[in-house]
Amino acid sequence: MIEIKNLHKTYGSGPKAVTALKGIDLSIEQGMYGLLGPNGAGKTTLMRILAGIVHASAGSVWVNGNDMKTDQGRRQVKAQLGYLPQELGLYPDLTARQFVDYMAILKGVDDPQLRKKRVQAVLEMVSLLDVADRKIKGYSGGMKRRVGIAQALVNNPRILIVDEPTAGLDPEERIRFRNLLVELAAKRFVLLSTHIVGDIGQTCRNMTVLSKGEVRYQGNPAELTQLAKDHVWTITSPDGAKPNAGLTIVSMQHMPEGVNYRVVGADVGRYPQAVQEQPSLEDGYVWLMK
Amino acid sequence: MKKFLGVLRYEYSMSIRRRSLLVIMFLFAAFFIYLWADAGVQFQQREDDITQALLAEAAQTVFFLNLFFPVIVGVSSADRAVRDDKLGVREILRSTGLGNFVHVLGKYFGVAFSMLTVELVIVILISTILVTLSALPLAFVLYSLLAVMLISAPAIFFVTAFSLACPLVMPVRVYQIMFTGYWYWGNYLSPQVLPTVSNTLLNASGRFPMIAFFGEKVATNWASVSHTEAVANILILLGCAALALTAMIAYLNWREKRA
Repeated sequence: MIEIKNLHKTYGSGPKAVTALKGIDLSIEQGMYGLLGPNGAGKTTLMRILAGIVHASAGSVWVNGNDMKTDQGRRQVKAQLGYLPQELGLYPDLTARQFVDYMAILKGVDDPQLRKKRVQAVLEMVSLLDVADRKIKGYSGGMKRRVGIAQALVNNPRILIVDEPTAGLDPEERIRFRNLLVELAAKRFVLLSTHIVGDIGQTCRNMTVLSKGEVRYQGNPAELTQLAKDHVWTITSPDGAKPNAGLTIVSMQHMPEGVNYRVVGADVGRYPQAVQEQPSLEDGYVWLMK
Repeated sequence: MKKFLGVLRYEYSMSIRRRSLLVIMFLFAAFFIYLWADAGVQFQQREDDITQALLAEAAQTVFFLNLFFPVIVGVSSADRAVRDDKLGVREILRSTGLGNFVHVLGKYFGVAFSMLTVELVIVILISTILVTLSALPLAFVLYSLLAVMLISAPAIFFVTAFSLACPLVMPVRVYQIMFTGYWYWGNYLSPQVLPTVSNTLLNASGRFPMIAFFGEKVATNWASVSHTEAVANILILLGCAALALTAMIAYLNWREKRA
Protein backbone atom coordinates (compact mmCIF):
# COMPACT_ATOMS: atom_id res chain seq x y z
CA MET A 1 0.00 0.00 0.00
CA ILE A 2 1.27 3.47 -0.87
CA GLU A 3 -0.16 6.22 1.34
CA ILE A 4 0.44 9.86 0.49
CA LYS A 5 -0.90 12.55 2.80
CA ASN A 6 -0.83 16.30 2.29
CA LEU A 7 2.32 16.05 0.19
CA HIS A 8 4.01 19.32 -0.72
CA LYS A 9 7.13 19.88 -2.74
CA THR A 10 8.73 23.24 -3.39
CA TYR A 11 11.95 23.69 -5.36
CA GLY A 12 14.16 26.59 -4.34
CA SER A 13 13.26 29.30 -1.90
CA GLY A 14 12.28 32.96 -1.78
CA PRO A 15 10.72 34.68 -4.76
CA LYS A 16 12.16 32.13 -7.18
CA ALA A 17 10.55 29.16 -5.39
CA VAL A 18 8.51 26.83 -7.58
CA THR A 19 5.79 24.73 -6.00
CA ALA A 20 5.51 21.41 -7.80
CA LEU A 21 3.05 19.62 -5.48
CA LYS A 22 0.39 21.28 -3.35
CA GLY A 23 -1.12 19.01 -0.74
CA ILE A 24 -1.49 15.71 -2.58
CA ASP A 25 -3.52 12.95 -0.91
CA LEU A 26 -3.40 9.55 -2.56
CA SER A 27 -3.90 5.95 -1.62
CA ILE A 28 -2.52 3.39 -4.05
CA GLU A 29 -3.10 -0.33 -3.80
CA GLN A 30 -1.27 -3.20 -5.46
CA GLY A 31 -1.81 -3.40 -9.21
CA MET A 32 -1.46 -0.99 -12.05
CA TYR A 33 -1.98 2.69 -11.26
CA GLY A 34 -1.91 5.52 -13.75
CA LEU A 35 -0.81 9.12 -13.38
CA LEU A 36 -1.99 11.48 -16.05
CA GLY A 37 -1.55 15.20 -16.45
CA PRO A 38 -0.13 17.94 -18.61
CA ASN A 39 3.53 18.99 -18.60
CA GLY A 40 4.43 20.63 -15.31
CA ALA A 41 1.58 18.95 -13.45
CA GLY A 42 3.97 17.42 -10.90
CA LYS A 43 3.86 13.80 -12.10
CA THR A 44 7.61 13.40 -12.36
CA THR A 45 8.17 15.07 -9.00
CA LEU A 46 5.69 12.67 -7.39
CA MET A 47 7.40 9.69 -9.05
CA ARG A 48 10.81 10.87 -7.88
CA ILE A 49 9.58 11.28 -4.32
CA LEU A 50 8.15 7.76 -4.40
CA ALA A 51 11.47 6.47 -5.77
CA GLY A 52 13.31 8.14 -2.89
CA ILE A 53 15.30 10.42 -5.18
CA VAL A 54 13.68 13.70 -4.15
CA HIS A 55 12.72 14.70 -0.62
CA ALA A 56 9.22 15.98 0.13
CA SER A 57 8.97 19.51 1.54
CA ALA A 58 6.01 18.59 3.76
CA GLY A 59 3.50 15.81 4.25
CA SER A 60 4.03 12.09 4.54
CA VAL A 61 4.68 9.24 2.12
CA TRP A 62 4.56 5.61 3.23
CA VAL A 63 5.46 2.86 0.77
CA ASN A 64 4.80 -0.70 1.89
CA GLY A 65 5.04 0.44 5.50
CA ASN A 66 8.27 2.39 4.95
CA ASP A 67 8.40 6.06 5.84
CA MET A 68 10.02 7.88 2.92
CA LYS A 69 11.09 10.69 5.23
CA THR A 70 13.72 8.47 6.80
CA ASP A 71 16.96 7.18 5.27
CA GLN A 72 16.07 3.70 6.47
CA GLY A 73 12.65 3.87 4.79
CA ARG A 74 14.08 5.08 1.51
CA ARG A 75 16.73 2.35 1.60
CA GLN A 76 14.06 -0.31 2.16
CA VAL A 77 11.98 0.97 -0.74
CA LYS A 78 14.95 1.25 -3.09
CA ALA A 79 15.84 -2.36 -2.34
CA GLN A 80 12.53 -3.46 -3.91
CA LEU A 81 12.27 -0.80 -6.59
CA GLY A 82 12.47 -0.75 -10.36
CA TYR A 83 12.58 2.78 -11.72
CA LEU A 84 12.50 4.12 -15.23
CA PRO A 85 12.92 7.91 -15.23
CA GLN A 86 11.51 10.18 -17.88
CA GLU A 87 14.94 11.61 -18.67
CA LEU A 88 16.76 8.35 -19.11
CA GLY A 89 20.54 8.49 -18.91
CA LEU A 90 22.79 5.59 -19.91
CA TYR A 91 26.54 5.11 -20.25
CA PRO A 92 27.11 5.19 -24.03
CA ASP A 93 30.41 3.32 -23.76
CA LEU A 94 28.83 0.22 -22.23
CA THR A 95 26.87 -2.43 -24.07
CA ALA A 96 23.24 -3.04 -23.07
CA ARG A 97 24.29 -6.29 -21.39
CA GLN A 98 27.01 -4.54 -19.39
CA PHE A 99 24.75 -1.68 -18.37
CA VAL A 100 21.95 -3.95 -17.18
CA ASP A 101 24.50 -6.16 -15.40
CA TYR A 102 25.94 -3.07 -13.68
CA MET A 103 22.47 -2.02 -12.52
CA ALA A 104 21.79 -5.56 -11.30
CA ILE A 105 24.95 -5.44 -9.15
CA LEU A 106 23.91 -2.09 -7.70
CA LYS A 107 20.44 -3.44 -6.98
CA GLY A 108 21.91 -6.28 -4.97
CA VAL A 109 21.61 -9.19 -7.40
CA ASP A 110 24.86 -10.60 -6.03
CA ASP A 111 24.95 -14.18 -7.28
CA PRO A 112 26.78 -14.05 -10.67
CA GLN A 113 24.88 -17.00 -12.14
CA LEU A 114 21.49 -15.61 -11.12
CA ARG A 115 22.52 -12.17 -12.35
CA LYS A 116 23.56 -13.55 -15.72
CA LYS A 117 20.19 -15.30 -16.06
CA ARG A 118 18.22 -12.23 -15.01
CA VAL A 119 20.13 -9.98 -17.42
CA GLN A 120 19.54 -12.46 -20.23
CA ALA A 121 15.84 -12.75 -19.37
CA VAL A 122 15.12 -9.00 -19.24
CA LEU A 123 17.07 -8.33 -22.43
CA GLU A 124 14.96 -10.98 -24.11
CA MET A 125 11.82 -9.45 -22.61
CA VAL A 126 12.59 -6.13 -24.29
CA SER A 127 13.78 -7.76 -27.54
CA LEU A 128 17.38 -6.56 -27.26
CA LEU A 129 19.16 -9.90 -27.18
CA ASP A 130 20.39 -9.62 -30.78
CA VAL A 131 22.14 -6.31 -30.11
CA ALA A 132 22.91 -6.78 -26.42
CA ASP A 133 26.66 -6.76 -27.00
CA ARG A 134 26.72 -3.58 -29.04
CA LYS A 135 27.64 -0.29 -27.39
CA ILE A 136 24.66 1.82 -26.33
CA LYS A 137 26.00 4.85 -28.21
CA GLY A 138 24.93 3.15 -31.44
CA TYR A 139 21.34 2.58 -30.28
CA SER A 140 18.24 4.42 -31.47
CA GLY A 141 16.04 6.31 -28.99
CA GLY A 142 13.58 3.42 -28.78
CA MET A 143 16.36 0.90 -28.14
CA LYS A 144 17.75 3.07 -25.34
CA ARG A 145 14.27 3.22 -23.82
CA ARG A 146 14.19 -0.58 -23.89
CA VAL A 147 17.53 -0.73 -22.08
CA GLY A 148 15.92 1.53 -19.47
CA ILE A 149 12.99 -0.84 -19.14
CA ALA A 150 15.34 -3.83 -18.84
CA GLN A 151 17.35 -2.23 -16.03
CA ALA A 152 14.13 -1.38 -14.19
CA LEU A 153 13.05 -5.03 -14.28
CA VAL A 154 16.38 -6.75 -13.66
CA ASN A 155 15.98 -7.10 -9.89
CA ASN A 156 12.43 -8.44 -10.18
CA PRO A 157 11.11 -5.42 -8.26
CA ARG A 158 8.03 -5.39 -6.03
CA ILE A 159 7.45 -1.74 -6.84
CA LEU A 160 7.81 -0.57 -10.41
CA ILE A 161 7.75 3.16 -11.16
CA VAL A 162 7.80 4.00 -14.84
CA ASP A 163 7.75 7.55 -16.17
CA GLU A 164 6.76 7.81 -19.82
CA PRO A 165 7.92 4.26 -20.52
CA THR A 166 6.55 3.99 -24.04
CA ALA A 167 8.01 7.25 -25.38
CA GLY A 168 10.01 6.44 -28.51
CA LEU A 169 8.84 2.84 -28.80
CA ASP A 170 7.30 1.64 -32.05
CA PRO A 171 3.60 0.63 -31.90
CA GLU A 172 4.33 -3.09 -31.62
CA GLU A 173 6.84 -2.60 -28.83
CA ARG A 174 4.47 -0.22 -27.07
CA ILE A 175 1.73 -2.83 -27.01
CA ARG A 176 4.18 -5.52 -25.88
CA PHE A 177 5.47 -3.37 -23.05
CA ARG A 178 1.98 -2.32 -21.99
CA ASN A 179 0.98 -5.97 -21.75
CA LEU A 180 4.16 -6.76 -19.86
CA LEU A 181 3.35 -4.06 -17.31
CA VAL A 182 -0.13 -5.49 -16.80
CA GLU A 183 1.34 -8.98 -16.26
CA LEU A 184 3.83 -7.61 -13.75
CA ALA A 185 1.09 -5.69 -11.94
CA ALA A 186 -0.61 -8.93 -10.90
CA LYS A 187 1.78 -9.21 -7.95
CA ARG A 188 3.29 -5.75 -7.74
CA PHE A 189 2.74 -2.04 -7.47
CA VAL A 190 3.15 -0.57 -10.92
CA LEU A 191 2.94 3.19 -11.21
CA LEU A 192 2.68 4.43 -14.74
CA SER A 193 3.03 8.09 -15.57
CA THR A 194 2.32 9.11 -19.13
CA HIS A 195 0.95 11.68 -21.51
CA ILE A 196 -0.57 8.91 -23.59
CA VAL A 197 -4.15 8.65 -22.38
CA GLY A 198 -4.69 5.40 -24.25
CA ASP A 199 -1.92 3.65 -22.31
CA ILE A 200 -3.70 4.39 -19.03
CA GLY A 201 -7.13 3.44 -20.35
CA GLN A 202 -5.94 0.06 -21.53
CA THR A 203 -3.88 -0.90 -18.53
CA CYS A 204 -4.85 0.82 -15.28
CA ARG A 205 -7.61 -0.10 -12.85
CA ASN A 206 -7.22 3.18 -11.03
CA MET A 207 -5.74 6.51 -11.88
CA THR A 208 -5.11 10.07 -10.82
CA VAL A 209 -5.07 13.20 -12.90
CA LEU A 210 -2.69 15.87 -11.67
CA SER A 211 -2.76 19.48 -12.74
CA LYS A 212 -0.60 22.31 -11.46
CA GLY A 213 0.51 20.21 -8.53
CA GLU A 214 -2.98 19.27 -7.38
CA VAL A 215 -5.17 16.19 -7.74
CA ARG A 216 -7.91 16.96 -10.26
CA TYR A 217 -9.34 13.46 -10.43
CA GLN A 218 -8.94 10.19 -8.61
CA GLY A 219 -10.87 7.08 -9.61
CA ASN A 220 -11.06 4.60 -12.43
CA PRO A 221 -10.68 5.34 -16.15
CA ALA A 222 -14.32 4.38 -16.89
CA GLU A 223 -15.63 7.02 -14.51
CA LEU A 224 -13.33 9.64 -15.99
CA THR A 225 -14.65 8.72 -19.43
CA GLN A 226 -18.22 9.17 -18.21
CA LEU A 227 -17.48 12.71 -17.03
CA ALA A 228 -17.62 13.75 -20.68
CA LYS A 229 -20.96 12.08 -21.34
CA ASP A 230 -23.26 14.43 -23.33
CA HIS A 231 -20.34 16.77 -23.98
CA VAL A 232 -18.68 15.15 -27.02
CA TRP A 233 -19.76 16.07 -30.52
CA THR A 234 -18.79 15.83 -34.14
CA ILE A 235 -19.22 19.01 -36.12
CA THR A 236 -18.79 18.98 -39.88
CA SER A 237 -17.64 22.27 -41.30
CA PRO A 238 -18.06 22.48 -45.11
CA ASP A 239 -15.71 25.47 -45.39
CA GLY A 240 -13.26 24.11 -42.82
CA ALA A 241 -13.89 26.91 -40.31
CA LYS A 242 -12.90 25.82 -36.83
CA PRO A 243 -15.61 25.59 -34.19
CA ASN A 244 -15.10 27.96 -31.28
CA ALA A 245 -17.43 29.20 -28.56
CA GLY A 246 -15.56 27.40 -25.79
CA LEU A 247 -15.28 24.08 -27.61
CA THR A 248 -12.05 22.08 -27.46
CA ILE A 249 -11.12 20.33 -30.68
CA VAL A 250 -9.97 16.81 -29.84
CA SER A 251 -9.38 15.69 -33.42
CA MET A 252 -10.04 16.72 -36.99
CA GLN A 253 -10.37 14.84 -40.24
CA HIS A 254 -10.56 16.13 -43.82
CA MET A 255 -13.52 14.52 -45.62
CA PRO A 256 -15.06 15.13 -49.07
CA GLU A 257 -18.00 17.00 -47.45
CA GLY A 258 -15.73 19.26 -45.36
CA VAL A 259 -13.73 18.97 -42.17
CA ASN A 260 -15.01 16.74 -39.35
CA TYR A 261 -14.16 18.15 -35.94
CA ARG A 262 -14.54 16.07 -32.80
CA VAL A 263 -15.11 18.57 -30.02
CA VAL A 264 -15.63 18.56 -26.27
CA GLY A 265 -17.71 21.31 -24.75
CA ALA A 266 -20.82 22.24 -22.86
CA ASP A 267 -22.74 24.13 -25.48
CA VAL A 268 -22.97 23.39 -29.22
CA GLY A 269 -26.09 25.48 -29.74
CA ARG A 270 -24.39 27.51 -32.47
CA TYR A 271 -23.79 24.34 -34.46
CA PRO A 272 -27.12 22.69 -35.32
CA GLN A 273 -25.30 20.08 -37.42
CA ALA A 274 -23.44 18.81 -34.32
CA VAL A 275 -23.85 15.07 -33.72
CA GLN A 276 -23.45 13.69 -30.23
CA GLU A 277 -20.72 11.01 -29.77
CA GLN A 278 -19.81 8.41 -27.16
CA PRO A 279 -17.00 9.77 -25.01
CA SER A 280 -13.56 8.21 -24.86
CA LEU A 281 -11.10 8.44 -21.98
CA GLU A 282 -9.30 11.19 -23.85
CA ASP A 283 -12.56 13.14 -24.09
CA GLY A 284 -13.10 12.66 -20.36
CA TYR A 285 -9.60 13.97 -19.69
CA VAL A 286 -10.11 16.98 -21.94
CA TRP A 287 -13.46 17.74 -20.30
CA LEU A 288 -11.89 17.48 -16.85
CA MET A 289 -9.04 19.82 -17.75
CA LYS A 290 -11.27 22.46 -19.37
CA MET B 1 31.42 -4.48 -0.70
CA LYS B 2 29.89 -6.08 -3.80
CA LYS B 3 28.45 -2.75 -4.89
CA PHE B 4 31.84 -1.12 -4.39
CA LEU B 5 33.55 -3.79 -6.48
CA GLY B 6 30.83 -3.46 -9.13
CA VAL B 7 31.32 0.30 -9.43
CA LEU B 8 35.10 -0.13 -9.44
CA ARG B 9 34.95 -2.77 -12.17
CA TYR B 10 32.69 -0.81 -14.49
CA GLU B 11 34.37 2.56 -13.89
CA TYR B 12 37.74 0.92 -14.56
CA SER B 13 36.44 -0.62 -17.73
CA MET B 14 34.80 2.61 -18.98
CA SER B 15 37.91 4.64 -18.18
CA ILE B 16 40.55 2.39 -19.68
CA ARG B 17 38.72 1.69 -22.91
CA ARG B 18 38.85 5.31 -24.03
CA ARG B 19 40.60 5.38 -27.36
CA SER B 20 42.34 8.67 -26.58
CA LEU B 21 43.97 7.12 -23.53
CA LEU B 22 45.27 4.16 -25.50
CA VAL B 23 46.67 6.44 -28.22
CA ILE B 24 48.42 8.53 -25.57
CA MET B 25 49.79 5.39 -24.00
CA PHE B 26 51.48 4.26 -27.20
CA LEU B 27 52.69 7.76 -28.11
CA PHE B 28 54.30 8.07 -24.70
CA ALA B 29 55.93 4.70 -24.96
CA ALA B 30 57.32 5.50 -28.42
CA PHE B 31 58.60 8.91 -27.31
CA PHE B 32 60.40 7.59 -24.24
CA ILE B 33 61.87 4.61 -26.03
CA TYR B 34 63.27 7.02 -28.58
CA LEU B 35 64.72 9.24 -25.83
CA TRP B 36 66.20 6.46 -23.76
CA ALA B 37 67.53 4.20 -26.47
CA ASP B 38 70.93 5.97 -26.40
CA ALA B 39 70.94 6.60 -22.65
CA GLY B 40 70.88 2.88 -21.91
CA VAL B 41 74.15 2.32 -23.74
CA GLN B 42 75.83 5.26 -21.97
CA PHE B 43 74.63 3.97 -18.65
CA GLN B 44 76.50 0.68 -19.02
CA GLN B 45 79.71 2.50 -19.68
CA ARG B 46 79.50 4.88 -16.71
CA GLU B 47 78.39 2.75 -13.73
CA ASP B 48 80.14 0.18 -11.59
CA ASP B 49 77.44 -0.61 -9.01
CA ILE B 50 74.99 -2.26 -11.35
CA THR B 51 72.03 -2.54 -8.97
CA GLN B 52 72.27 1.07 -7.85
CA ALA B 53 72.71 2.15 -11.41
CA LEU B 54 69.67 0.20 -12.57
CA LEU B 55 67.55 1.59 -9.72
CA ALA B 56 68.65 5.12 -10.53
CA GLU B 57 67.95 4.65 -14.22
CA ALA B 58 64.52 3.18 -13.51
CA ALA B 59 63.69 6.02 -11.12
CA GLN B 60 64.80 8.60 -13.63
CA THR B 61 62.69 7.04 -16.37
CA VAL B 62 59.57 7.10 -14.20
CA PHE B 63 60.38 10.58 -12.86
CA PHE B 64 60.53 11.98 -16.38
CA LEU B 65 57.35 10.16 -17.27
CA ASN B 66 55.81 11.86 -14.24
CA LEU B 67 56.60 15.19 -15.80
CA PHE B 68 53.72 14.69 -18.25
CA PHE B 69 51.68 11.65 -17.32
CA PRO B 70 49.83 13.07 -14.27
CA VAL B 71 48.71 15.98 -16.46
CA ILE B 72 47.08 13.44 -18.75
CA VAL B 73 45.59 11.71 -15.71
CA GLY B 74 44.21 15.00 -14.42
CA VAL B 75 42.81 16.16 -17.73
CA SER B 76 41.31 12.84 -18.74
CA SER B 77 39.73 11.98 -15.38
CA ALA B 78 38.14 15.41 -15.01
CA ASP B 79 34.95 14.33 -16.78
CA ARG B 80 34.47 11.04 -14.90
CA ALA B 81 32.27 12.35 -12.07
CA VAL B 82 30.48 15.18 -13.84
CA ARG B 83 29.47 12.94 -16.70
CA ASP B 84 27.04 11.11 -14.40
CA ASP B 85 25.11 14.39 -14.30
CA LYS B 86 25.68 15.26 -17.94
CA LEU B 87 24.52 11.86 -19.16
CA GLY B 88 21.63 11.84 -16.68
CA VAL B 89 22.72 8.52 -15.16
CA ARG B 90 22.80 9.77 -11.59
CA GLU B 91 19.01 9.51 -11.23
CA ILE B 92 19.01 5.80 -12.07
CA LEU B 93 22.06 5.22 -9.87
CA ARG B 94 20.31 6.91 -6.94
CA SER B 95 17.21 4.82 -7.43
CA THR B 96 19.29 1.68 -6.84
CA GLY B 97 20.15 2.75 -3.30
CA LEU B 98 23.82 3.23 -4.16
CA GLY B 99 25.23 5.59 -1.52
CA ASN B 100 27.62 8.38 -2.40
CA PHE B 101 30.38 6.93 -0.22
CA VAL B 102 30.46 3.62 -2.10
CA HIS B 103 29.91 5.28 -5.47
CA VAL B 104 32.67 7.85 -5.07
CA LEU B 105 35.18 5.33 -3.72
CA GLY B 106 34.36 2.79 -6.43
CA LYS B 107 34.67 5.42 -9.12
CA TYR B 108 37.90 6.77 -7.62
CA PHE B 109 39.68 3.45 -7.45
CA GLY B 110 38.31 2.39 -10.84
CA VAL B 111 39.63 5.52 -12.55
CA ALA B 112 42.92 5.58 -10.59
CA PHE B 113 43.63 1.90 -11.31
CA SER B 114 42.90 2.43 -15.00
CA MET B 115 45.45 5.26 -15.11
CA LEU B 116 47.94 3.19 -13.17
CA THR B 117 47.43 0.33 -15.62
CA VAL B 118 48.17 2.63 -18.54
CA GLU B 119 51.36 3.84 -16.86
CA LEU B 120 52.43 0.31 -15.97
CA VAL B 121 51.97 -0.76 -19.59
CA ILE B 122 54.00 2.22 -20.80
CA VAL B 123 56.78 1.50 -18.32
CA ILE B 124 56.82 -2.22 -19.09
CA LEU B 125 57.04 -1.42 -22.79
CA ILE B 126 59.83 1.12 -22.31
CA SER B 127 61.86 -0.98 -19.91
CA THR B 128 61.48 -4.19 -21.90
CA ILE B 129 62.64 -2.51 -25.07
CA LEU B 130 65.55 -0.88 -23.21
CA VAL B 131 66.51 -4.23 -21.76
CA THR B 132 66.48 -5.71 -25.23
CA LEU B 133 68.27 -2.84 -26.99
CA SER B 134 70.91 -2.14 -24.33
CA ALA B 135 71.38 -5.67 -23.03
CA LEU B 136 70.40 -4.56 -19.50
CA PRO B 137 69.57 -7.14 -16.83
CA LEU B 138 65.92 -8.15 -16.68
CA ALA B 139 65.79 -6.74 -13.16
CA PHE B 140 65.53 -3.32 -14.77
CA VAL B 141 61.88 -4.08 -15.63
CA LEU B 142 61.14 -4.94 -11.99
CA TYR B 143 62.95 -1.84 -10.72
CA SER B 144 60.92 0.25 -13.13
CA LEU B 145 57.69 -1.19 -11.76
CA LEU B 146 58.92 -0.49 -8.24
CA ALA B 147 59.66 3.08 -9.29
CA VAL B 148 56.11 3.45 -10.65
CA MET B 149 54.67 2.33 -7.33
CA LEU B 150 56.84 4.64 -5.22
CA ILE B 151 57.31 7.66 -7.48
CA SER B 152 54.29 7.81 -9.72
CA ALA B 153 51.40 5.98 -8.05
CA PRO B 154 51.03 8.49 -5.16
CA ALA B 155 50.79 11.28 -7.75
CA ILE B 156 48.14 9.36 -9.70
CA PHE B 157 46.03 8.78 -6.57
CA PHE B 158 46.49 12.42 -5.56
CA VAL B 159 45.59 13.84 -8.96
CA THR B 160 42.65 11.51 -9.61
CA ALA B 161 40.90 12.52 -6.37
CA PHE B 162 41.04 16.22 -7.20
CA SER B 163 40.09 15.61 -10.81
CA LEU B 164 36.93 13.83 -9.75
CA ALA B 165 35.98 16.34 -7.06
CA CYS B 166 36.84 19.79 -8.44
CA PRO B 167 34.88 19.68 -11.72
CA LEU B 168 31.69 19.19 -9.68
CA VAL B 169 31.98 22.82 -8.62
CA MET B 170 33.68 24.38 -11.65
CA PRO B 171 33.60 23.91 -15.43
CA VAL B 172 35.69 20.95 -16.61
CA ARG B 173 37.71 23.05 -19.08
CA VAL B 174 38.58 25.62 -16.40
CA TYR B 175 39.70 22.83 -14.07
CA GLN B 176 41.83 21.21 -16.78
CA ILE B 177 43.63 24.47 -17.52
CA MET B 178 44.08 25.34 -13.84
CA PHE B 179 45.30 21.84 -13.03
CA THR B 180 47.89 21.86 -15.83
CA GLY B 181 49.18 25.20 -14.57
CA TYR B 182 49.26 23.92 -11.00
CA TRP B 183 51.18 20.77 -11.97
CA TYR B 184 54.18 22.66 -13.32
CA TRP B 185 53.98 25.56 -10.86
CA GLY B 186 53.51 23.38 -7.78
CA ASN B 187 56.04 20.69 -8.63
CA TYR B 188 58.77 21.89 -10.94
CA LEU B 189 59.11 25.63 -10.53
CA SER B 190 61.91 26.84 -8.26
CA PRO B 191 60.79 29.01 -5.29
CA GLN B 192 63.51 31.43 -6.36
CA VAL B 193 61.59 32.15 -9.55
CA LEU B 194 58.07 32.32 -8.08
CA PRO B 195 56.55 31.40 -4.69
CA THR B 196 55.57 27.73 -4.97
CA VAL B 197 55.05 24.58 -2.90
CA SER B 198 57.53 22.60 -5.01
CA ASN B 199 60.11 22.35 -2.22
CA THR B 200 57.56 21.28 0.40
CA LEU B 201 56.16 17.84 1.23
CA LEU B 202 53.22 18.69 -1.05
CA ASN B 203 55.45 18.10 -4.07
CA ALA B 204 53.79 15.39 -6.16
CA SER B 205 56.41 15.03 -8.89
CA GLY B 206 57.96 12.00 -7.21
CA ARG B 207 61.17 13.87 -6.44
CA PHE B 208 61.18 12.99 -2.72
CA PRO B 209 60.81 9.20 -3.10
CA MET B 210 63.19 9.22 -6.06
CA ILE B 211 65.96 10.82 -4.01
CA ALA B 212 65.24 8.86 -0.81
CA PHE B 213 64.57 5.37 -2.16
CA PHE B 214 66.52 5.33 -5.42
CA GLY B 215 69.39 7.71 -4.63
CA GLU B 216 68.89 9.58 -7.85
CA LYS B 217 69.11 13.37 -8.17
CA VAL B 218 68.25 14.74 -11.55
CA ALA B 219 69.47 18.22 -10.56
CA THR B 220 72.65 18.65 -8.55
CA ASN B 221 71.21 21.46 -6.39
CA TRP B 222 68.45 19.25 -4.96
CA ALA B 223 68.73 18.68 -1.22
CA SER B 224 69.00 15.16 0.19
CA VAL B 225 65.77 13.55 1.38
CA SER B 226 65.44 11.07 4.25
CA HIS B 227 63.28 7.96 4.04
CA THR B 228 60.98 9.49 6.66
CA GLU B 229 60.49 12.61 4.57
CA ALA B 230 59.73 10.55 1.48
CA VAL B 231 57.18 8.44 3.37
CA ALA B 232 55.66 11.61 4.83
CA ASN B 233 55.47 13.08 1.31
CA ILE B 234 53.58 10.00 0.05
CA LEU B 235 51.25 9.96 3.08
CA ILE B 236 50.50 13.67 2.72
CA LEU B 237 49.59 13.22 -0.94
CA LEU B 238 47.30 10.29 -0.09
CA GLY B 239 45.86 12.28 2.82
CA CYS B 240 45.07 15.20 0.51
CA ALA B 241 43.39 12.75 -1.86
CA ALA B 242 41.29 11.41 1.03
CA LEU B 243 40.31 14.96 1.99
CA ALA B 244 39.25 15.75 -1.58
CA LEU B 245 37.12 12.59 -1.73
CA THR B 246 35.56 13.32 1.68
CA ALA B 247 34.64 16.81 0.49
CA MET B 248 33.22 15.33 -2.70
CA ILE B 249 31.03 12.86 -0.80
CA ALA B 250 29.85 15.61 1.57
CA TYR B 251 29.04 17.85 -1.39
CA LEU B 252 27.03 15.13 -3.16
CA ASN B 253 25.15 14.31 0.06
CA TRP B 254 24.36 17.98 0.57
CA ARG B 255 23.18 18.32 -3.02
CA GLU B 256 20.90 15.31 -2.65
CA LYS B 257 19.40 16.62 0.58
CA ARG B 258 18.52 19.85 -1.20
CA ALA B 259 16.81 18.03 -4.09
